[in-house]
Amino acid sequence: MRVVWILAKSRWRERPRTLLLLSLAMALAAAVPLGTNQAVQREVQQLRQQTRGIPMVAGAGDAGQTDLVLAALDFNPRNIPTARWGLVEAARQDVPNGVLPMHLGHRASGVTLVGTESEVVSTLGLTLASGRWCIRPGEIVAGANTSLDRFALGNVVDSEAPKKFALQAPPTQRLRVVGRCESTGSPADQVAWTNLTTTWVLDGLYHAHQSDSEQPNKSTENRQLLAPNTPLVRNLFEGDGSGLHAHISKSELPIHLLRITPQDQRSLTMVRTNLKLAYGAMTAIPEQIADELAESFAARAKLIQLAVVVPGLGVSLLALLVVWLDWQRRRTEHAGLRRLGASQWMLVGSFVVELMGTLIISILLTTGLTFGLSIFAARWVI
Amino acid sequence: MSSEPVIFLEEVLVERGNFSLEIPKLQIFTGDRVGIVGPSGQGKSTLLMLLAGLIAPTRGRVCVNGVDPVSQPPQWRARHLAWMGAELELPTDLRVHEQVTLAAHLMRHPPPPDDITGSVLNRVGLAGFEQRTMASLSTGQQQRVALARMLLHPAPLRLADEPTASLDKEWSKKCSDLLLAHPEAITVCFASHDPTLITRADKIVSPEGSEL
Repeated sequence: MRVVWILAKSRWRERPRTLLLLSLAMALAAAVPLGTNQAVQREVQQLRQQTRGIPMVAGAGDAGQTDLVLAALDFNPRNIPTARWGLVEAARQDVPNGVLPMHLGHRASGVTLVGTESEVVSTLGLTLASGRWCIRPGEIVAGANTSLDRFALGNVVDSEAPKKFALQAPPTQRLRVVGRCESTGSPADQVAWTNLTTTWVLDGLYHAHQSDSEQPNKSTENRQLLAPNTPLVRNLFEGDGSGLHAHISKSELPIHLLRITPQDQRSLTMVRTNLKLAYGAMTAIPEQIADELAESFAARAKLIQLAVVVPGLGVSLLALLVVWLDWQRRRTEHAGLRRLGASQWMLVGSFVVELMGTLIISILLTTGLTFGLSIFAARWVI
Repeated sequence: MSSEPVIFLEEVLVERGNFSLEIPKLQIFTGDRVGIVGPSGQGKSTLLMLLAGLIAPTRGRVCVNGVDPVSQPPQWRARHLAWMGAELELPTDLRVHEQVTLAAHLMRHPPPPDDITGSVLNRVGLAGFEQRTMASLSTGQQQRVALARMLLHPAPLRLADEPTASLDKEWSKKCSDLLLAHPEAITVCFASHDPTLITRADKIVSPEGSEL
């Protein structure tokens, strides 16, 4: 055994680069299919877990089902067309207490603002770490992972102009952080919550007019000339919001999606049929979409795996060829060692121990590469 | 010299392709220093390989230390023979100190102490080369490593094929001294064309076993 160890050790000591390269080649051949597989399994599992709590989503008739479901999960609006508030009212006729509207179109200091109702707290299982829930227009509650510097309790943040160079767009608003949430470990930690009125103000649809006393100068020449939809207040949180109004019917106000939690299957069928037929809305059952996405992920993973089968096989064959050539190259050495009294098992044993070392390093590299590739595949490919 | 030969060959014929070697009778006794001489291709190396049990005779009887060497396991060779081939065949990745202690490991003996290996390496002019790999040495130096390994091997029979072939005159003389200066209990058989080495043998035989 000592001779086996001395021979194997000497090869690793004198040729570490060659053996490391061999390990790396073997690791790469294994890591790509393993990595993509792992990424798919993780993503599918996560998706299924997240969609389990959402029985149904609805949105504008021309919105994609997948986009609606994904937007309900990660609060990214993905250019989904807006639906009207009338859809919320229609849904509430069938499901009075299980409809949660969401407006996802605005951002403040780089964080998505989700305009919704206070029921979101119980629906998403949010708990406040500090402060209170947003009640008045201009108030926001920050998710647990938002920057503590910018979204500290009491801080005022500016909303982002949706279109930077659109001169007709409503001006930005100053919003006050009145609460911070505990972590939920979901995308809810990355966003800031506000009420729908605030998002409609940011849309330029809700506004207030300055009173006479607020006018700095009553003279006609100094009075501001303003378009009807221009909000005259920038510190929304300072007022009580009672003066805010829109010049369109409330049923026309925009929302991006509705999370609907019917009491039972019958109520789900009713609300789905009603929204589809009577309002031309798009509805989606997230669990079904998750299944479809899982299939799509699996198909992509299979494609990647197929794409690497040929190079992978090539690398494996090359590795085998290297091992075989190395064995052939040592025939003279082995003959010499046999003449000294080394048995065949000693020679094979030293080769096996050497390969085991290569294999162990290859397994370690495969583990690391699989982990890295699964993250890469999840982020960029799937 | 004891009365029982340590090596005994009788009516041996070796045939390998077109080559054949016939040895009617050969006896070598303990402590003998036997030089095998003859032109290239006559069978010097074949005779040494027969003695080491590395090839089997086509017919006849080969007896080394009382046994037929070809039927013995590799472990027997490690215990009873110190072999030095014409082709050095040394593992290129082993370092010099590993090469010279390899025989002890193959015999499952503890390796010789560092001062002894150091002294032998010093005698073959390789002091300070302990950590060098074989690949980094010249052929002459490699041959001296092989000689050092043989000198450190405690086997009672030394078989050396052209042990000074790659050495210059000075090292050939020094190495011949080292190879042949040994205790009475050790028998040495070598094949060589080197007159420096051949003239020091107690007995000179042809590959056919006839005394010259």
